Amino acid sequence: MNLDDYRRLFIVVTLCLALIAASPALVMLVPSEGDAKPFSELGLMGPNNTAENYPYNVSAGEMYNFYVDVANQMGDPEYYAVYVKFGNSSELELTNSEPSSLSTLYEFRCFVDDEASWESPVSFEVQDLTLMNEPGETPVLTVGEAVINGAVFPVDSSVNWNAEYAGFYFRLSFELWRYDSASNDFVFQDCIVGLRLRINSP
Amino acid sequence: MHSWTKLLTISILLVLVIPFSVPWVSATNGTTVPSVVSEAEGALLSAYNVVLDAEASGANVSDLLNNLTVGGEYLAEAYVNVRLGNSAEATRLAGLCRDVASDVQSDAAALNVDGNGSGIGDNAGVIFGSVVAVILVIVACFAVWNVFKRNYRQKMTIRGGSA
Repeated sequence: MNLDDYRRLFIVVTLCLALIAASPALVMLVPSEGDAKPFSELGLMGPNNTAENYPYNVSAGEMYNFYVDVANQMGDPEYYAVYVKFGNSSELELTNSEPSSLSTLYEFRCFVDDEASWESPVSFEVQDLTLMNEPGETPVLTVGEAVINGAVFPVDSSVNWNAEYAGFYFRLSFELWRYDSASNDFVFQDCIVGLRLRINSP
Repeated sequence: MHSWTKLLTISILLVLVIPFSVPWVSATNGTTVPSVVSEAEGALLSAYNVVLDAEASGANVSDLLNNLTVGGEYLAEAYVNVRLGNSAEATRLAGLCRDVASDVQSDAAALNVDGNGSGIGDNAGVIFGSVVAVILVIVACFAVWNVFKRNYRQKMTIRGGSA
């Protein structure tokens, strides 16, 4: 090897060492390919804080307990609202495309740090059930009141007897909304979870 | 006729003045929200913005967010009570929310002052350190190259002389 070859070798070694020395700054400046799209999560957990034993067969006057969870993967702290609604299956379809037009009964508000979660217990009860069972007519069950975390809400929600599944079915839904600083308002996060409740007639 | 004119004038004035003298605020679900609840919401949002500023400057805001959530719980309960028609309870809860928001805002502002630039300072430190390291690497390699080049030429000169 002559001097020119050694010079080229030194230049290559210098560049490699300089790159290693600059790597801490480069890591900060170059975005990671592993960065996922930011998202928020909404979930329900059973009474033992597990994904089981959710309320289903519901009787009037009995309290049912479970949990609602919100997780933040948005990259920044976020301000969330969870709106709770109650109705029959045609009023609450539990799809994620748009929020229900039913009035909000109960709500939760929380501030969740990035990569953190929030949880709150929920107690639910139905009261004031009325069964209309006229001869030759489809039976209709009306729920007069829904009690959520001790607050009694007049709902007057009715549903016909579901012959296919042999019961009166209602839904308790939870919608996730996130505060958007740009619009200065809460924005629906395309996230609804809920419980399908088979309410026993009185 | 004169009295009818007076009555008409007073009626028009009342219609114009009354909406601004009564503190009603429109809300969702057609429920009227007392202004104290809306003010609590505004206070909570203000505190939240100050917390975000503190977070952006590198401060650890986990405790502040937990405290804000306490305020959020009061506010949510206030809205629930508005829906149920319990305005007295809604007002009480809104007051609690505003107190929490005020405390959080003060704490966040203090954190912002203490930690101002710390996050930015950490990043600047890393970049500065990398620049210094690169310069040192280049200078060191240049010095090594000069020593190597001198020794190489000496060797070539000795070989040429002995040949």
